[in-house]
Amino acid sequence: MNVFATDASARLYEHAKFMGQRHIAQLFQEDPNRFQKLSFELDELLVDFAKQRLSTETLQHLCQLAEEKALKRWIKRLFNGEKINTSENRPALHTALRTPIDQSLLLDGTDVIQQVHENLDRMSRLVECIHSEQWLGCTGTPINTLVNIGVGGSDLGPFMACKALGEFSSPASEKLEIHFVSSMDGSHLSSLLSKLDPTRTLFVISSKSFTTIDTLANAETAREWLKRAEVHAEMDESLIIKRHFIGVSASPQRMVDWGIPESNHLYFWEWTGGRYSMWSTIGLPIALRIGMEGFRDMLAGAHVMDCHFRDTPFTENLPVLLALVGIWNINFLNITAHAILPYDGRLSHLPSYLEQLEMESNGKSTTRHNDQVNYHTCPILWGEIGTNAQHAFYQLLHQGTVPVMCDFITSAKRYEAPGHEELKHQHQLNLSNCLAQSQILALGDTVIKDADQAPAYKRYRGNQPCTTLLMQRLSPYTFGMLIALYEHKVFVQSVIWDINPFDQWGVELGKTIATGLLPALTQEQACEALDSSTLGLIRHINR
Amino acid sequence: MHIAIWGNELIAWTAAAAFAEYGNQIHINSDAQIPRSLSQQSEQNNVLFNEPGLLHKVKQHYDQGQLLCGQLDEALACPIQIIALAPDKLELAQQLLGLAAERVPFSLLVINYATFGLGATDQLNTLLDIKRDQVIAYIPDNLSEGNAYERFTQTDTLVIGCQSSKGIQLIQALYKPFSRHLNQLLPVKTHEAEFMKFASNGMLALRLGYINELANLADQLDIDIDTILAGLGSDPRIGKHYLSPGCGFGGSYFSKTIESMAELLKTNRNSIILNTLIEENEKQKTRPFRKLWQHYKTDVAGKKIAVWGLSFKPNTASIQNAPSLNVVKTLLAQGCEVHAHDPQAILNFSQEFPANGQIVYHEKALDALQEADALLILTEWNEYWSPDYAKMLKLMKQPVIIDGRNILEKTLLRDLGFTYYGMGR
Repeated sequence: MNVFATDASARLYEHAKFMGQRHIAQLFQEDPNRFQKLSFELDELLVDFAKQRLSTETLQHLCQLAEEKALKRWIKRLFNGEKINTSENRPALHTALRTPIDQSLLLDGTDVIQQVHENLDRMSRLVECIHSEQWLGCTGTPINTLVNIGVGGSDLGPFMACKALGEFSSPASEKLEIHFVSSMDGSHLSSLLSKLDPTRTLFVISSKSFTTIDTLANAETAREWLKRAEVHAEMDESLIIKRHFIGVSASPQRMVDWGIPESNHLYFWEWTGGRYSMWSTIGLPIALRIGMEGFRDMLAGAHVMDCHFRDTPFTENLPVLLALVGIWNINFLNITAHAILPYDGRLSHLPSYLEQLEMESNGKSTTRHNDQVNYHTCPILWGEIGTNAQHAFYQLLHQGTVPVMCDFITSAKRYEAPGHEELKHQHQLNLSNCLAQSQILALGDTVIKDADQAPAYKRYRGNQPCTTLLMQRLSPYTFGMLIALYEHKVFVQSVIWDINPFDQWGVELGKTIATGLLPALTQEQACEALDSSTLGLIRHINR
Repeated sequence: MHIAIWGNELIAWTAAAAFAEYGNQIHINSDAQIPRSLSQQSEQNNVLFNEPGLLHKVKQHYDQGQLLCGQLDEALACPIQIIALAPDKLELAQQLLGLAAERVPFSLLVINYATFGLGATDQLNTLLDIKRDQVIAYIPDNLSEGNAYERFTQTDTLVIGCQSSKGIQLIQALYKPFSRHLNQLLPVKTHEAEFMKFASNGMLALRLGYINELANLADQLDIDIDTILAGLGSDPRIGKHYLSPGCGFGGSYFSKTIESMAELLKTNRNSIILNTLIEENEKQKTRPFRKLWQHYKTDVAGKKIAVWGLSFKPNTASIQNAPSLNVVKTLLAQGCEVHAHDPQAILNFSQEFPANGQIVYHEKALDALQEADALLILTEWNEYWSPDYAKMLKLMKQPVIIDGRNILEKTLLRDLGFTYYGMGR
């Protein structure tokens, strides 16, 4: 099935034949007002598409495509809590996680907004208890270190947000050390445990299903480490768990089975996708880092983006436009690589967060109707702090053979307090690099005089489409807006591609096969019925 | 002699009482802007109420007209000016000396008792005119709360940080009545005297911190700290002073100097030795609570806990930096019901923690024990050393005693049927 067999698509294919021949530099020469026409603002966020290989006409066609794909109805279905995650038969209600308390949304007769706020309040009490140094370890010493054990959605979002918003710590929260542990092989944990004080460490086990093997393996190691500590020699295991473990999950019973008492549970729901869960109690480390007030600011920023997405015409709708520009690049200009380039060290973990958000959501080739697609869906997405990537893969962006679309993400103001002149200068240096790189990537060496006289190896082809996302300042609020923007972008693209962005069946088989191979590696059981490569490797390992 | 004393600290009132006693005319004020009566001044600071006997002495001299308050112009014209302000009041000291230096026609002696920091006395000296015989001295005080007057008047070593021989002479004359016990008079440079003050308090604190650490370790290794201390104390290189483990030191005076010394070491040497000590001392303050927490297997909510001793040390009503503040805060936060007793500090303490359903104050120590699940002893007041054990056993629901000051005889208590926890024993 070709979802692009529509009137607007036909016009876009035709339009692409023309635009595909154009160079972005040419577009700027022809229209000096591109920035005014192709940049859009919401609150403290500006998105500039002027360095994309498109025109206002392109956007009009793309918006018509969105109309044809019934995007409006899909947005409504998303917000209303319809079971649009059809393969798992559940809604995707991350928008409910940031809806203010004065609203309501009934799901199977229950008001989920009330449930959300009850859990936020529960989390708030816990945060207050830890910040006031009244969460005591089993020796009675206040906890001063938190280790979040989780993987995927239970790790990437909180990890990214804590890094991004660290400077918004309060005097109470900055005393708390927060670490993230995810790797299944124990690398993170083993290097960390040797530095931690078992009497003052609290582990947060985050797993929606509470069956994730990576997480449970790390949790088990943490439990054994606590039990082995000399100061805990005479403590019951149940006491150690009660004072040193919090569980965050949608499966209360499994938390109880693992030993975590009900008093230490935080809940979220089946309708919260893992990679959309940092707004829920999975965000506990964020709230502990920046305080509940900061956490609620982040939710408020995301909610502003939700309302904008739900209520604004497509032609001015940031998530819709961001998604459609992607569709244009991927499906009409045939660009299948996407670089995420934050020009802000605080956003260093944004690329890996977006890798999961985008590729786990839309990295699929089966439509909602179980047909195979015959068009590109999610591109390869990767990234790095821009100024660091300049010393790594920008060579490929500038002079390689692969067309790549780039998102430049930065904030206009930073280090504004007096006494930070040197750092402020560094920020300006950073901004000048951000602007210079997107300029050259889009316009090529036309930005300098007589470039065509240079030898070929010194030439810059340009024509790599770039979007700039500029926050006035990075804060919990604008950060919330930014992440919600990408979430909705992913949803819009899934609607155009007719795929379900909320499941991830492609990651299941690996888990099953790995479980099956374990006995062969622990030499409990011979495993003959394998391909020669896997068998050969196992034998080599076991030698 | 006419002496102006500026400040509301313990040293200010102690010096005022002592100098007035020996015929000097004292003007004592806390600043040069607002004239305040004695009662207004003493209301600003609990020092006078907290220090046993001091208020009585001050009042006596006040009534006799030997000690005056509120006559600011006269005070600023006194030929001896004593700065005894709080450590954060250097600016006020500068302002006062600026005024006094102008008003006193000739021969001005300034004595600085305040712990403003290293080099502060030299800084103040720049406001004086040496040609007009205006000199300054720093005298490190070695007062300890509870017996400040005795320490002041019976000092055995007087360190005078002063570069002027005339200044030293004058101070000697002023201290003459207190020289009966004096073994040594040590004239040094002003910044050396300042350093001495920091250094000695730092040394004492380190000793206390180390002993507490030893006691904690002894607890864990099941060693009796008393035996270890007996051995340590018999070593003449170590001696017996400041060798008792407990639940942390407090008070405003001692703590402030340690903090200043910690800051000095951190800034100049990037050394965190005293910061670590302060941090560990804070932890030590809740050690009695942690013993309770472990005794009840972390389940203390709803338990009725008696607390004996709220002041930071015996014979004072001061609760500044007292372990009781940390312990009671934690007890309340963990849902315990607190029944507290202290011979002097209840008034101060109830301002921090007003009596309510969760915290009740008792006039008699034994009354706090009714139906108690445990008793925590946080200050070694004399009356707690030998209580009526039979009555205690009858009153308490659970005979659990956590002795934060190691004042009770553990073997006897265990024989009587108490569950006893000490600090390192």
